[in-house]
Amino acid sequence: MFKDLDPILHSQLRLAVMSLLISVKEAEFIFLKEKTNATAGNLSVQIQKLKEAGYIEVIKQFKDNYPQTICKVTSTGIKAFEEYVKNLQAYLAQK
Amino acid sequence: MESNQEFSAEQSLQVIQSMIQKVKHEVANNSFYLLLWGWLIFVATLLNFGLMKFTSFEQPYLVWNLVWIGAIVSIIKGIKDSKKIAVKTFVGETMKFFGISQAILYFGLAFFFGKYDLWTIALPLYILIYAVTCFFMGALMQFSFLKWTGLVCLPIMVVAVYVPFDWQLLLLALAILISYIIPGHVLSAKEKLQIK
Repeated sequence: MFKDLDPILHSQLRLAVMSLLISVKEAEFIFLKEKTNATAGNLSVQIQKLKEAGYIEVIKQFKDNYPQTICKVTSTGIKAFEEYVKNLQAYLAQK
Repeated sequence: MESNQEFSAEQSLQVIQSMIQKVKHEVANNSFYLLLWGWLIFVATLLNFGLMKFTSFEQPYLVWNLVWIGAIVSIIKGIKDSKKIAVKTFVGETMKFFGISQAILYFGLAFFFGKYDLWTIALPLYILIYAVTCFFMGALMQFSFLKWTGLVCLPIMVVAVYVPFDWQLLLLALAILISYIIPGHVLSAKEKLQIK
């Protein structure tokens, strides 16, 4: 059962990012970096993986002439997260 | 936080829980608006009462033009905050649009009451709106104290229906003190603690 956990989500930083985004409407990159204490480079890589999996949407725009990256969870991402939590709870209940 | 290290199911759950907690404590500056409008209405109400009772000034209602200051400050603050904020929460967005709806309601009603000279029923109705507003905001923000202070305005509204206009002004001041000002200061203290 433990091996069936979604490998995209079963990663500390990606799981942290998804947990944050599940709770909000949208969040900027700097917010995610501050809350996860991750480096900018590592966070960018993990966000890209979540985006490629279709779990989050990434919007790049400019605010006051500065680049801004906004992340939002997708409906695919919500389903995947719910499935992950369900499998996690089932695994912990079995232990 | 490293993404590549192996971690257990228990650690997974801890990550989820800690991240959700971090978002829960995101400070929304709701106390600012409660205090701004609370004190503004409180001062305007007492000035209106004082001018009516103790002076021969014929247009004491002109003090209500103070609300335009509140409107301008609220709009400027809202625009500044929306530029600073790095996260949009569902509660935050709901509060924002609820605040805008409230503004439309208050100004719309004032226009309506002015047009048909219905000021004798206006103040109890405004107290009722404070009661409902605070009850709703308290529920949305999970701030029970605000819910209860909102409900306390209901008997004040009932009394206001049976008294003359000058007493209604004092009851309006009491309602705004109980439903906006006191909870606003309590919320402000809570928000400052959360920032620390």
